[in-house]
Amino acid sequence: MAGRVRWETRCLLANLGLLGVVASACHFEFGGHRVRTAAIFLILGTAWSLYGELLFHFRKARARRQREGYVPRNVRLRVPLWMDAGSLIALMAGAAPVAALAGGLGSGQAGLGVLLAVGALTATIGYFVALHSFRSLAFEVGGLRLYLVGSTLLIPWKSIASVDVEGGAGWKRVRFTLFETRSALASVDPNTPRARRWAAVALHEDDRPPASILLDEWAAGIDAPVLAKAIEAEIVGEGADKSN
Amino acid sequence: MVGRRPTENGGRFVTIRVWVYSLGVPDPSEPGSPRGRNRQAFRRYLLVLLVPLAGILLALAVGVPPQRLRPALAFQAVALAAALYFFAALKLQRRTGRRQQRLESLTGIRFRTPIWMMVIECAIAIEIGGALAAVVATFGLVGVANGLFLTFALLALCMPWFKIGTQPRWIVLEPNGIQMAVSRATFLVPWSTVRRIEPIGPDHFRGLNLILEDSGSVLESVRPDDSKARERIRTLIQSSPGIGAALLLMPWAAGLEGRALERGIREGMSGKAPGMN
Repeated sequence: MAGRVRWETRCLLANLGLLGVVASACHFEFGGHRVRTAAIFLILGTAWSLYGELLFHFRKARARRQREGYVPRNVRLRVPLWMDAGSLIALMAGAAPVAALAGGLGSGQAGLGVLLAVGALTATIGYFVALHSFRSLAFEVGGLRLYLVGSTLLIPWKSIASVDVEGGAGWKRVRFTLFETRSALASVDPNTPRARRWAAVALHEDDRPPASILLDEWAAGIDAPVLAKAIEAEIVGEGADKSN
Repeated sequence: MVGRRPTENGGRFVTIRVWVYSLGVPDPSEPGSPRGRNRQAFRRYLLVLLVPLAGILLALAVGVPPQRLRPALAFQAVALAAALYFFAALKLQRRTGRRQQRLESLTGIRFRTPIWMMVIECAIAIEIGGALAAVVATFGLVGVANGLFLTFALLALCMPWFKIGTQPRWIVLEPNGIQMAVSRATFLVPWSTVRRIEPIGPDHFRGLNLILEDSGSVLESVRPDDSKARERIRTLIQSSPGIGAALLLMPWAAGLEGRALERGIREGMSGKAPGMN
C-alpha cells in the first residue's frame, strides 16, 4: 500500500479538481445550466469522497481502540451502518465525475441514471455477499455464534483447528479452519434444509476439506487481527479467564 | 467487482467466490440436478424480461401514448436480444464442456477463450441494464434510462478487460507442467509445485484454486524475463500465511471447462496423462 494513493483520496482529488474547473466556468459565465448540473454531481461526489476519507481514519482509530480493549461476551456484534455504507459511498464517489460529465454534456437525467445504476449494482453485490458470509457474531461460552441472513449457528471452540489473518496492509480478513463441521451444522437454527444448505455454503464445505470460515474485513465491526486474537484466546482457554 | 477492492488479492477471492455462487447456484436450497438448475435460470430470466414488459403493457392500458413508450420498447428489445444470446451461448458452452470432458488427453492442446464465450458475461450486463432501463423509460424518464443503460454497457465492455490481467489468455497442459499466458507474460507451473487443487463452486460452474508449494519456480519461468512481467505474475499468485501461494483459475479459464481442467491437472500431477512418457 505504501506509495499508492488510496481510492478515496483519488476520488476526492478528482471531484475537487473537477469542481474547481466547473467553479471557474461558472465564474466566467460559461456553460450556464449544464455547468450547474455538473457542479451538483461534483458537490455530491466531493461529499461522498470526504465521507470515505473520514471513514478510513475512523476505522484506524477504532482498530487502535479495539487493540487496547477486549471483545465483549454474549453480545451480538454487528457491522455498524456507518461502516457498512462505506463501499457504496466509495463507488458513488467514483461515479460522480462520470455523472457530472453526462450533466455537463446536457443530460442531468443521464447523470442521475449513472448514479442509480452504480448504486443498484453495489446494493445487489452487497446483498449476495451478505447472503454468503457471516457478518455478525457473538462470543459465547460454548463457542462462536455466527449469524447468516435468517439463521444462526454455533461453532464449538474445540472444532476450530487454526486461525489466520490473511491479506495485506490495506485488506485483512480472518480465516479459521475447522476439524469438523457436523456439530456446527447440527446447531443451525432454524434447522431447516434451506438454512443448513446456506450454512454449508458459508462454511466452504463443498470446496475442500477441511472446512474453513472466512470473515471479511471488519466482520462484526471488529478489526481482523483483534478478532483473530480473541478467537485464538478462546481456543486456548484464555478468553473466558479474561472476561471473568 | 462492485463493493470490494478488486485490485487487492484478499478481496478478489471473496468477491469471485460470491460471484461464482451467485451465477452458479443462486439458491443452494434448489435441487442440484441440471433440470432444476435450468428451471431456476428460466424463472430468473422470465422475471428479468417479463417485469419490464408487464410495465409497458400496463402503461399502454392506462392510456400512455405508444410513441412515449418507444424508448422503453427499444431497451426491452436490447435486453431480449442479450437474453437470447446468453441462452444460445450457454448451450454451446455446455456442449463444448462435454466435448472437452470426452477428450482422452488434454496434453499439448492450446486452449484459449473464444470470443463468443467472452461475450456471455457482457450479455448478462446488457440484459440487466436493458431491462432496468426499460422499466425506468416506461415512467417517461428516458434520460435516466439512458444513463442507467450506458453504465451497464460500459461495465459489459470492461468485463473482458478485467480478466486480461487476472486470468490466462491460453493454457497448455504440458508433460512438465501447466504453461499459461497472462497479459503479455507466459509462465510455467511445474507439476511438482502444485500441492493440491481446491475446486470452487458447483460442478457446472467450477473454478479452481491451485495451491502451490512455493511461487519461486513459477516466477523463474516468467517470459519475457523482466521485472514488470514477474511483478504481474507475482500479484496473480496470492500469498497468505494460512494457505501459502495460490493461483485462482475462474470457471472457464482459457475456455476450459472446470472439471476437464481439474482432471487434466490431476493427471499431470500423478504423471498418468495419456501421451506423457
